[in-house]
Amino acid sequence: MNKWKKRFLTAVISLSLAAALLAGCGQDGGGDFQGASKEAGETTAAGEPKSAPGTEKTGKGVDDTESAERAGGGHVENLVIGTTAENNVFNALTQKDAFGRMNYNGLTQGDFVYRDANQELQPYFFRSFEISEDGKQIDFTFPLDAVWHDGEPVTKDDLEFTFEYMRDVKKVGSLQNLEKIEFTGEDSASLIFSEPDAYYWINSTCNNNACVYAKHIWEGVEDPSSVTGEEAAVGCGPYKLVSADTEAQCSVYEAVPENAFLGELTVDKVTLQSYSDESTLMMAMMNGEIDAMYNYANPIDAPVIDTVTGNEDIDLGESPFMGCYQLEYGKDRAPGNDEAFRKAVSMALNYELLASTINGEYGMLPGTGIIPPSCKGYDETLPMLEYDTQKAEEMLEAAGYIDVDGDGYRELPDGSQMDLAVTPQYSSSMDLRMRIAEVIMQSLDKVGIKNHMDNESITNSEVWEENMTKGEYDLSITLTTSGMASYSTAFRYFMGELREGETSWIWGTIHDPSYKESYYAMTGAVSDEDYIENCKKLQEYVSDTRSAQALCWETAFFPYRTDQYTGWENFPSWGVINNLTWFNLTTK
Amino acid sequence: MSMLCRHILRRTAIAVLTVYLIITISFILVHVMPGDPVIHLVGQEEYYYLLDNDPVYLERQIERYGLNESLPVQYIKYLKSIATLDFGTAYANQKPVTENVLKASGWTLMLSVPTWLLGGLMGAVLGVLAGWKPGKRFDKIMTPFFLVINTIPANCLSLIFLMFFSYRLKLFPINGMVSAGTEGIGRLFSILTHMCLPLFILILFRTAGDFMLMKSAVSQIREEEYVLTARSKGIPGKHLLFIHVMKNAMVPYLTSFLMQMGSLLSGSMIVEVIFGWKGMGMLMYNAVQNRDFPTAQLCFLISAVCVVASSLLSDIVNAAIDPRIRTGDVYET
Repeated sequence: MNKWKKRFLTAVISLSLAAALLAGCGQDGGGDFQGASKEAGETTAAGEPKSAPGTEKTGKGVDDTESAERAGGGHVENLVIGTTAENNVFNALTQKDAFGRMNYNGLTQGDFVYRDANQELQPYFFRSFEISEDGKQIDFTFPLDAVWHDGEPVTKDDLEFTFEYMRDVKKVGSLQNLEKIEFTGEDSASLIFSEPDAYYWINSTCNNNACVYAKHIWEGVEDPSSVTGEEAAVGCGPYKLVSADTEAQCSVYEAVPENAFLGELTVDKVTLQSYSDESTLMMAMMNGEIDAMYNYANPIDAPVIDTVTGNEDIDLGESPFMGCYQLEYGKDRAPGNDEAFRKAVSMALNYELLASTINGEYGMLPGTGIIPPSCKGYDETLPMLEYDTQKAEEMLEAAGYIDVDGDGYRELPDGSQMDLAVTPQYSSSMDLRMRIAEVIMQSLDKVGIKNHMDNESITNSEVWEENMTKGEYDLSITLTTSGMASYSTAFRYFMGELREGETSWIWGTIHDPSYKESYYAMTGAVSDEDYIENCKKLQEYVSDTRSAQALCWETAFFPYRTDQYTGWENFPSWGVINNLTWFNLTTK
Repeated sequence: MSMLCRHILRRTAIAVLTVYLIITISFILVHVMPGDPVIHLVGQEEYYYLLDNDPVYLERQIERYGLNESLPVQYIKYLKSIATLDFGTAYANQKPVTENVLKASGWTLMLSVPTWLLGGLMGAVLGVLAGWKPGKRFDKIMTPFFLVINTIPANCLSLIFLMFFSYRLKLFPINGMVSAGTEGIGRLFSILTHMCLPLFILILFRTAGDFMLMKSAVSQIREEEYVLTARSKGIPGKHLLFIHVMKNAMVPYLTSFLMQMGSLLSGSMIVEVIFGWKGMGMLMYNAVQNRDFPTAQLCFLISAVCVVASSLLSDIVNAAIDPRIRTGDVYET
């Protein structure tokens, strides 16, 4: 090859490289949201919260004295949070991506209330709230100095619009009986329901970042997801979105002192950085790229957490997980409709193996009441599940499940063949559910119960859903997330039918009216005592009848770095990124 | 009409038919994939929550994306969208699919073009050197090395490199394409540091593949009788290699090289997913995972068109280089 040819080839390669690189150099993935703010940040910090007389819950109101005493540290300049959710959509009403998920922690939105580490509701945008004794009214107070991130003040009109929009446009089920919002004072109002739904609404709203909507942005918008401009991100929370770089998968938020609902904001800036998976997220944390992680209700998997263990600058953020995997017996057909059979199967399952499959060495033996101890209303008097194959075989024999034809597998009491289908809940990632199914199948096999994987359901969500809703299954493996567990609980999944007028999903096969009555008494409770009482009734029911059962109680891990900041509060099942982080975290 | 023109026309007709078949098959495949797209559209837990609390939103999404229409109606709409180049809105971020794809293509090309050129060049040169003198020290070192590289799964090698170079040695960023808050030269430098590791891995794999192909072609041709004759005539080694051996070895290599051009826009799914590189591979992966029909279909369409076009191009180039191909003689021997 002569030198001109060589030069030509070199030039072609160099040009290709340069052209390809330059294509990505423009920061077109970035969005600067600072221009959206007109006045935010100009006024002084929020004043002390007012307490309405006789209120049940008042704002925490961390005042200046208290904040000065707090750990003696200074403000956190930039808190970097890692997540596996993407930084693509910035819409206050769709809860999508990292932005939407972070608003479960009242980052950019004025969430009405939040649930604290003890599962108690606490005021956030609401400065105080009280539920009436008949459960038909919520009286609340609200701040007068809160601002939208585009500089507009938050007004009564916004509040009125919010509730009407949620009821009439979004058709929020828990607000279907909302009659009106009545303003009772300059900073106080009441939500009046025709049915005792107040407790239900405020508890269910807490898991779905229900917040104040800006009337000047959302009025007339039928489909919130169709709003994709900068205005979609405007909220009245303590932080405003100032820049978003979708190519760098990063968004930055700055404090808005007017909206400091719980007192002084101690974190000046929040950076939200996305990673492709849990492994890279943990590597970034170990390398000090991020300070903490937030992944909604998805803790770090047990095998991944082991790679972080032993790092003295990282706390594993360990807490009992409220959600759990559970097994429901199909009670619309034999043998799931036989209580004796269910109890025998329950005795035959290898819980140690299930625990290590689901949660590694951190998994625990579950109780018969299904919900883990970290859930509100947990009944500690109920027995734990037992694994005893010999006893299980005896129970099966006593119930008439005997191997008549000598093929090594038991037949039904009427002598007909028995071959149970094991159906894991359909999901886009089935790996763990399949492994759980394998353990259950192995356990059943050991006590002579013939079984097979429900292959049709695991490859097609429509088939799975149809079988579930029609009750055509033998053993169904499902998951209750911590979001669901915190109020509606796993018991929702087991209902055979819902109350009239509800257009929801039903996967369960419990048709007992007393169960349904207890469930609705729990979700429609007018007080915590009422909720707990009915929650215990439901636990007792499943414990006695073994209609369904937990497979493992898990430990959740949301690691965070401890070398720079102090004041982290680890909420069980949710981690250290929560509504209090913005007000409590200080430098060491 | 010349033989070459007839050959090109025939190949073009077959290519168009192939693209149409791929369009149809990809439409069917995407729609028979298990899973309710609405669940993936809003997320599983969100779906059940919305059923309870915002059923209107779900209905609106179904209508918006035409998911309540029959398969034939959706198919006709799909064909129309291809004809008008209007591929609709992505489920993932409510932005036009074309915009998402164009953006992802740019990032993919940043990795794939250098991979294609450098990997192709290095594979060819090293392959020729090893194939021309098989059994010598160079061949003994390079062949096992590239054989091992060829057999290691991309995800495995990527994770090892990530652990070692990014996490342990902290030489490269752990994830992503660029650091936030950078502009101009700083952004260019940031992109370069982010692309180093995935690019190196991709070049390594491409070099390994091309090396094996070239080495095999050269070592086979050097044993041909005409090469022996030329050697016995006293033709010098360099002349023999470049004029007699390379010319023939280039036909299979060029075919492969041009075929690789077809995958320039498809991206490398595994490497992109591991390194958080938001190119076409990752876009396609997410689209399939989330049943984002419009995005998945456009990704499939682009891949199909590129592969068919590159195949057509390699046919034409080969026909131009090798007269036996355009006359059909090569098929008769």
